[in-house]
Amino acid sequence: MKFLILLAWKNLFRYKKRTFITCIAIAVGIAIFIWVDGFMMGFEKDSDKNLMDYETGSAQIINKKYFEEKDYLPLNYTVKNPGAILSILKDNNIPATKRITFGGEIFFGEGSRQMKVFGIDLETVNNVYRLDNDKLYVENSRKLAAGRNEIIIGEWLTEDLGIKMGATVEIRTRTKHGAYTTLTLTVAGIINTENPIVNKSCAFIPLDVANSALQMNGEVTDISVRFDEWKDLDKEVERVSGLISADYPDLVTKSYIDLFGGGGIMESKRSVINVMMFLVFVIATVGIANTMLIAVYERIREIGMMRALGMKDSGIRITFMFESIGIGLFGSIFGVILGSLLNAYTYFIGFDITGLIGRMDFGYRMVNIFKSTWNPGTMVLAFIIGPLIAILVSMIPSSKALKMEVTDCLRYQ
Amino acid sequence: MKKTVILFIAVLLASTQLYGITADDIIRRMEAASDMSMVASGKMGITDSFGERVKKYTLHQSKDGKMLLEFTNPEDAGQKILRIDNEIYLYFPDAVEIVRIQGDALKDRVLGSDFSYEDLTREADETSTLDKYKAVLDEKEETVDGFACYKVILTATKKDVVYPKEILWIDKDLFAIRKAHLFSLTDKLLRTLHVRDIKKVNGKNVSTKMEMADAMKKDSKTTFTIDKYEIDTPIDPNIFSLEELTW
Repeated sequence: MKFLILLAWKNLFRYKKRTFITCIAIAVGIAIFIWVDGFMMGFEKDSDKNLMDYETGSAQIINKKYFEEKDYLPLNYTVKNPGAILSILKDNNIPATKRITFGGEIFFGEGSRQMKVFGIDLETVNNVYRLDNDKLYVENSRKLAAGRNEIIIGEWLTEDLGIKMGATVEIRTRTKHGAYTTLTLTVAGIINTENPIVNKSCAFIPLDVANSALQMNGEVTDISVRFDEWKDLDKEVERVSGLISADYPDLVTKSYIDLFGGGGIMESKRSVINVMMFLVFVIATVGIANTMLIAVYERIREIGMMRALGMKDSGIRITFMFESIGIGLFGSIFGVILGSLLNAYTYFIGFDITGLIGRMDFGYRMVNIFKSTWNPGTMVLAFIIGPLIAILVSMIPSSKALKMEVTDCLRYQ
Repeated sequence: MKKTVILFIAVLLASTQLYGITADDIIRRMEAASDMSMVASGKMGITDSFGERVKKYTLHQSKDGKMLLEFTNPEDAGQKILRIDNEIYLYFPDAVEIVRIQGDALKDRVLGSDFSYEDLTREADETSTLDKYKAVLDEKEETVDGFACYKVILTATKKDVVYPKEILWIDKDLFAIRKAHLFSLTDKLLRTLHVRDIKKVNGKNVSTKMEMADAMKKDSKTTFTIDKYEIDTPIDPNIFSLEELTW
C-alpha cells in the first residue's frame, strides 16, 4: 500500500502541467461555488435584516384576523390593550414597541402615490427599529415630535412627487371604522434607508397623531418585538406566544418570515437560490469531471504498460484513486483559499449595485452595497466534494481501461 | 259650510306637501323612485393618468339589491361581478375561478375605475340612507344643469359609513340625484358625482349617464353610460347565483 501511495504521489509531480490544470479546474469550480453561496446568503441575510430593521421587527404580536388580511392593512382587527402586553414583554426583557400601520394615498401638487404609513411610538420605536441613525436622514431633517402633525417620508417617494422638506402633504385613508379621512401633515424629514421599500413607498408619523386621525381609541395594529440575531427565531416566537396567548387568545405572534408573505415568498426565493446553487454546483462538477476524464484517458496506454509489467488491477485502481484524492485535495485547498479571497472582498468591501439595479423592485430589501457572508458549512462541503468528484470521475475511465485487453491499452490513442 | 272646511283642509295639506317638505321626505321619495329591477347594457369610460379606457357591460339588477355585472369588451370579456346579500363575487374566465371579495379588499377599485367594490355593496344596502345619516335641507334653492334641485346635506350618525358627509342635489320634479359631493371625516371633498341624464320610466328614475370623479386628482373620472335598459321586467332569479356565474 505504501508503494502505491508513493507511486500516486510521484505521478502527481511527474505530470506537473496536467496536475496543475486539473487542480485549477477543481479550484475554480469550488471557489465559484463558495463565492456564489456567500453572495446569495449575504443577499438574503441583508434583505432579512433590512426587513426587520424598518418594517416588521423580528416578530409581531397581532390580531389573528389581522394576520389573515395583513396584505390589506386592516385597522379593524387590533391589539386592544397594548400597554398591558408591553408591560409583560418588558418584565421578560423583550424589546418591544407599538405601532399603527395603515395604507393610504399621499397627495402633493398634482401627483399622488399609494403608500404605507407607520404610526410609531417615539419613545420605544428604536427598541425594535433602526430609525435613530442620523445618517439615514437627509440634511435638515428633524425627528418627529409627539402631537405634531408631521411626517417623515422615504426619499425616493419625495423625489417622485417633488416633495421638499417643510412641504405640506395630504394623506387620504380610512378610519378604523371604514370612513374616509384625510391627514394634513408637514414634512419634518426625508429618510434614505438600506430598505428600498421604505425609500419608495413608506412614511412615519407620531403614533398619537395616527391614533387620533384613525379613531383607534388607543388600540394598535401590532406590537413589534426584537430578538438577538443569534437566538433561534422560532423558539423566541414560541416564547413570546407563550407569554401572551393565555390572557389574549385573540392575538397571535408571528415571525417576520410569516409576516413577509406568509413564508411563501421567502420559500419561492429560497427555491430560486437553491436552483442557482445547484446550477453552479453542476457547472463546477462538469468542469472538474471533464478535466479529470481527459487526464485519465490520456493515461490508458500507461495503464496498459503497468498491466503488462504485472501490476494487479486492484493496485492500478488504488493508485489512480490516490492520485485523484491528491488532485482533489490540492484543488479543494486552492479552491477554498480562492473562494475565501473572493468572498472576503465582497464581505468587507462589497459591490455597489445602485447602478446595476437602480430602483427596480425585485422583492429583496436591498439597496446600494451588496455584501456577502461567510458560510463555513458550504466551505466544508466544497472541500469534501472536490476529492469525492475527482475519485468518482477517475474511476470511470480507469475501470474502462482495466476491462480492455492489455494490447488494446497499449495501442490506445 | 262642510264643503268649505274640507276644501280648506285639502288646500292646507297640499300646501304642506309643497312648501313643508322635509329633507327626510326628499330622501324617502328619492329612494322610492329608484326602487326597481333593471336589465341594461352600456359603457364605462375610465379616465386617469394613463389615458382613457372604455369597458362595455351588461347589467342585471333585481329589486332586492342583487346585481350581476358582466363585461363584454374584448379585453375583459367574460369577467363578472355578482352582488348578493351585500357580498361581492368576481369571476375571471381565464382563471375559471370565483373570488369572494371581503374585508378590506372591498376598498379596491373596480377595474381601476372611481367606483370601489364597496360602492357596489353600498348601493345594495337595503337600509335607508336615513338610518345612517341625518338629512338637513338647505333652504337655498340651487339648479344643476338648469334643473331646480333640493340641496340636502347628509351628516353621518354612525361611524362605519364610507363618506361621513354628503351633499346631494336632488331634482325637484324627478326626486333623482343630479349631483353629489362626497366628503371625508375632515370635511375634505373626495368625490363628485354628476348625473348628466335621467330618464323617467313608469314613475322610476333611470340615471343613464353619470360621472364619478376623484376630487383630489386632476385627471380621474369614470363615466357610466346606460345605452339600453328595461325596468321592472322579470329576471330569472337563478342568474344571481354562484352556479350561474361560471357560465
